[in-house]
Amino acid sequence: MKQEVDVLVVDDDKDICVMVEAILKYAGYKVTACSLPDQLPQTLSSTTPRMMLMDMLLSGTDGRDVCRLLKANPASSHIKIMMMSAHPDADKSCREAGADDFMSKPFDMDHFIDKIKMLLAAS
Amino acid sequence: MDTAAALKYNFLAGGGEMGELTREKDWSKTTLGDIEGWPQSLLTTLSIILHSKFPMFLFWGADLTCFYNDAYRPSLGKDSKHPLILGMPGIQAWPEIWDIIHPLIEQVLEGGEASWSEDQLIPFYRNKKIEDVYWTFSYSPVNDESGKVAGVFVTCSETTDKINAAKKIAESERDFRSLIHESPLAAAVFRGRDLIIELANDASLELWGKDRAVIGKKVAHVFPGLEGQQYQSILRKVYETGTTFESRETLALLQKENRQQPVYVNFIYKALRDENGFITGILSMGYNVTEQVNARNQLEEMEERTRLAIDANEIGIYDLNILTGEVVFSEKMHHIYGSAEPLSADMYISMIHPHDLELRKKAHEKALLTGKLEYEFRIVLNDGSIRWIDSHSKLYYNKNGEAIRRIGTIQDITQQKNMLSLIEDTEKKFRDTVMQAPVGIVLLKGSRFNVEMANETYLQLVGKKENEFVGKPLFETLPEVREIVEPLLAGVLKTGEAYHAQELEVTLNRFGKKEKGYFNLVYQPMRENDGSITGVMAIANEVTKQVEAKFSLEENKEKFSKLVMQSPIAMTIWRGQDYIIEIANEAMLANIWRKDANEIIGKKALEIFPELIEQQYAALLEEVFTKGLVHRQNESVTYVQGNDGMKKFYLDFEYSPLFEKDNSISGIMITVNDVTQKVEARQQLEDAEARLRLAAEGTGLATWDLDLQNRHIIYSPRLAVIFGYDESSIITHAQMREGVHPDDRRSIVEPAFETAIKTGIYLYEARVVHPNNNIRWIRTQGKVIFDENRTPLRMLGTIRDITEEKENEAKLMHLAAIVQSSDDAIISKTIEGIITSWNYAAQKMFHYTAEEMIGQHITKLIPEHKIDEETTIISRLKKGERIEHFETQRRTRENTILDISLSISPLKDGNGRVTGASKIIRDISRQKETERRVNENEQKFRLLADSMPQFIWTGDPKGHLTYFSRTVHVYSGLTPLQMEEGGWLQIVHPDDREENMKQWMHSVQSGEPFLLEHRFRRYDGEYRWQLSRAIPQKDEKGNIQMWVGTSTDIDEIKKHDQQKDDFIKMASHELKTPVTTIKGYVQLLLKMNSSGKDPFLASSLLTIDKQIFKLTKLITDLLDVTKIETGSLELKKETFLIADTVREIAEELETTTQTHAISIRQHANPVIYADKDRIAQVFINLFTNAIKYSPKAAEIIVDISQQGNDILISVEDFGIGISQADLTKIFERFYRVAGKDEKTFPGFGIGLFIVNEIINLHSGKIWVESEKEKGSVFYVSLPVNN
Repeated sequence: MKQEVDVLVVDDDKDICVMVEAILKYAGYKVTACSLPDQLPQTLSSTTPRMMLMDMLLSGTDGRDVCRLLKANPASSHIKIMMMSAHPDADKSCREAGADDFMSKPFDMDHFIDKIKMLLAAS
Repeated sequence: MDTAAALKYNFLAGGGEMGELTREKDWSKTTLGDIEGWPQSLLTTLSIILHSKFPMFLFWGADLTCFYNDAYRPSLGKDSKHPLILGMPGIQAWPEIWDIIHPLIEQVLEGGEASWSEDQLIPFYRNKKIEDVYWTFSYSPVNDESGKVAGVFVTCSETTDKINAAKKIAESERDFRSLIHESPLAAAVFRGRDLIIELANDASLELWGKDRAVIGKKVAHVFPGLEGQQYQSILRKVYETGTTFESRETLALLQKENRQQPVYVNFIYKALRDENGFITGILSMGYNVTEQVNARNQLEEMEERTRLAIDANEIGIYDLNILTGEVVFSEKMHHIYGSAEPLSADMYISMIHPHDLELRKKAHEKALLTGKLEYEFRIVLNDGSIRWIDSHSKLYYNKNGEAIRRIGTIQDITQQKNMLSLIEDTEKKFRDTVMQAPVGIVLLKGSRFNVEMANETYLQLVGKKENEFVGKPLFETLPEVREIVEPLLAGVLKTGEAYHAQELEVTLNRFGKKEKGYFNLVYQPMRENDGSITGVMAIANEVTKQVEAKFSLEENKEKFSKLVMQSPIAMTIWRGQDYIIEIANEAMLANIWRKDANEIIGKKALEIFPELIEQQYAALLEEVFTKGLVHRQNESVTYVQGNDGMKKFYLDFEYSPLFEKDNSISGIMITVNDVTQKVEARQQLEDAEARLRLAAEGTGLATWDLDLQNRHIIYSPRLAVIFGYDESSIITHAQMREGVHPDDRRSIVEPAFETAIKTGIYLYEARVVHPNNNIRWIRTQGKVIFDENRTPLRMLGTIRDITEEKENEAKLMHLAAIVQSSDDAIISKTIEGIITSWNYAAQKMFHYTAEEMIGQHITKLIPEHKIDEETTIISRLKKGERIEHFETQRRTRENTILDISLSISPLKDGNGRVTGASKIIRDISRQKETERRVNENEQKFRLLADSMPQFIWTGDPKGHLTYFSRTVHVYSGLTPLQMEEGGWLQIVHPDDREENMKQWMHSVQSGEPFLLEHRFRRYDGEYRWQLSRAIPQKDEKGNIQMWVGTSTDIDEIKKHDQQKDDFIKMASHELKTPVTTIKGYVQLLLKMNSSGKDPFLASSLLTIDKQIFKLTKLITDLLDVTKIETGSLELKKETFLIADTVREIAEELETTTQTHAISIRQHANPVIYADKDRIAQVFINLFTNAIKYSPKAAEIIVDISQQGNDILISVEDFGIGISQADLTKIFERFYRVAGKDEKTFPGFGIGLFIVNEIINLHSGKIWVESEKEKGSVFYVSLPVNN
């Protein structure tokens, strides 16, 4: 039986993973985090997230490629994906890769929670 | 008085005045008491003192009572101490010097030793004042009877005079020495027979070239040389004789700064004598007079030069003493006035040209005011020639301002004057020829024949005034001539061929009425430099009077000619009753008698001409001889037997009697006019006509006979040919009229016909149009035959085809005009090289006139180094070859070498033999010079272009690239040929080609500068980025002449820029990542502590949050700058309410900063279409700046209003303000206001740069108004309808 979570956070920066997890948990969401992109397939095989929050540049992997794969796969295409990055101009390319929303780093917490809420409501 | 007392008085007996005073003094009141009580020692001492002639003084007793003798008394002066101090205590007698002498007295009183003072200054009161008195004195003790010192005996002598004398000597010695030392003169003292240098001042040492070491040495040692010896012998002589030696302006070589400098010195050697008159030394004084000598030499030189100048310029000089009237004249004066002898002043004046006397008077009047006399006048020499004189003089005044002297110069300027007037004449002639030419000249411009210029003659010709004629189209003013003249002018304008008309009949409205006039006309095309014809120069000469006169003149001429030519008058004189033939003229002999003179002269006429007897003449002669009446008879038939047989004559003859003084008749003068031909001609009229016709046909002349009643015309067959028909064609008079060129029919033929009817003479030249449309010129001449009522009956005449003549004439006119008006020198010469013609341009070019050059050899123009050319030229010409544009050199009159281009054509005679040549010479000096400069510039440009690292290229106005600098070939590895064949586009990167072509064509078409970054292929195949620019070079009309372009390799720059951008992007990403974590936690912690349980924690977290906001902003700003620079700042536009956005930002900032109140005055809240985040960024920047730079204020005022289609938002603060110098720069990148206060404000200096860029991207405007220390207002204007 797969574990159901609201948000799956994927970021190769473990500190950010923990921080985002804390904020979302504080906001009342069920959250799991993955800071090792290599393990993402395993995580997804054991977890069913309603949405994913994913950094664009994961060590050794491009988050946009991951996004494209997930959106291309019927098994995961329903999962809402919000991508995030501190990289300027990442917004456009992330959306082109199929992301449903984009969050630029650093972010305002209230604004962030609002966006999460809206995306989950749409899922 | 007792004995002792008497004795004591004896002691004091004698002793002069002082003895007496001493004795008589009442001593009882002194400490010494009466004389009776005085000790012997005192008396003895006094006795010595009073009798001594040496000044002596005595202090005696306890209070040092004073005694002195007569000799001492003068020292006390007058009306002073004497005789008061006798018997007075010392201290009272000498209060003023007591301080000085008391110690001396005490010393003697105590020690008993005598003292000696020499020349001691002891100033005391005498002669009613304190005087400086010098003394030599001795104080010696006087013992009393007990052996004790009771008094001080003073012997003294005053040495004041001696001291003063010595002082004066010393002073004068000192003065002498200082005089010598400080003297500007070189002064020295040589002492003793050995002439030891005792003194020498600096000037002397300088003159000698020695230093102070020479002092104390012998002159002979110091100056060992020859010159020194000379001076020594002079010095010795002075020393021995005592005679002063003086020398003036002696040349000496002064040693100065290691070189010898010649100086002139005046010096004096004077013997110095001691008080006894013995010579003890020599005073040498010298002074440098070099400057004076030089000045004088220069003056002399100047005078010499002036004299030379005067001599050379033939200047005469005079010096007039105004008061006495005396004048001194220099040598030259009378030469100028053409006299071998000097002349008197009056004579000089008398030679002035009478017309210039008034001029002279005025010049003199002016001179009285100005002090200078300057004028030019003429003089008449004895030989009658006139010379021009230039007179300059100056008045000299005395103290009272009266002119006393006049010194002046006189110069013959005839030559200059002649030159000037020659030049003026030439110019005037030129102007006159045009403007005052006796022929009318008018310049007509354009197709409307606007009158550009008309000379006086022309204006008179057409009866117009300049202002009503010039500047208007010709036919506006002269509509009546339009019909005739316009086609002619139009023809000239169209064909460019000159039109020439003789005696053209034109009817003009002039002088208020219609007038017919005859004109000789030349219409000459006026060409521009490019050869286009823009107008016509008309030269008109009115010949009305001549034409009219010609008709009558011709008649007279004919009559005369008939009389003379066809009826030569034969004359003979017969004498006496026997009619002896006395004289017979040649006409008589040859034509009538046909006999030799020697056969008949002196013979009886009737014997010679017996046939006369048979005729009526013998009887007639008889009658004349007897009656003395003249007999005349015409057309008398006479038979005369000549040597060639009998001949019949028709003679008009006259027999006139010749009277003697006594009224008797001595002979008969016979005048005979042979009218045989006339009579016979008349008789054979028809024959003659027929013959004429035949003759006419032979010369191409057509004859005709027009019946004026019925217009029936009889003509020779030739006439039909002239009108373009077959010889056998029959043409009517009307057809002939039809055949005349329509323009000429109305303007020439019909008027000529009308004239003929009136005058009897028919004459015109006109064009006929042949049926095949050929145009030919004809000349018609005819004569009208009238009946007795002057009704014209017939017209007889001839017609000739004169087309060729006309053409030749026109060609000749044309050629002559070309030659004369040509800018090129046109010369013709014989094959031998002799110049035969020389046009005006040749004169201008070589400065020789035609008169000077015609007949000269052509080599006169050839410079020596080109002289061989002529041989080559001649030999080529002989072969009939033309020489074209041969560039060589010729020389002018002044021997200036001209660069010329020569074209020579051989001239041939009728047999094709070369007889000469025509040369066209063009001055190409300027062209050559220009060429040379152009080449030079071209060379420079190429050198410059080749040596620049950039690529330089040029293009023609159509955009074809015509030149590439060497660097392009080096870079591309392509040869110029390859570049030319493949085109430059081949080295442009394929991806850039389309844009490149687009941009280039745009520039070429619009003339806008070209600017593009593109890649060029290098020889090794690598493409490198280049920045190319090109700017069009325009002429003064703005037409593009060429494009000049450069390409600069910016590959490295591009790479560096890319690397920098990448780096900044990466850096901002890496910086933001940790910020994200921190910010996240801070916000989370703030939320978790929102209950405010821990206020410190809350405020700390708030501070961290604020600082993180700032840090984030900095990172974002840095990145924005990069984006702006690379042009990648993109806007995400949306529609929003601008005022609301501004308000939200203001409120948020108010809460975070809490130092300033931001009050908003809102007058509008329009919707704008813009990047909301970026606009927010603008106002965040403006507000934070306003807050940051107004630390002492608490308010920011924001005003939002709509201005037309723009929203205008101002942000006003009351802070430190911005200086004027900084106002324009604050929007620049990294610009930070410099200054004491401003330095304390942190920041990157990029905020306003970004703000400005964002506003620009929105097509908005931002500006600032500010005053130092008062605050700033930033204005942002954004378009609303966007």
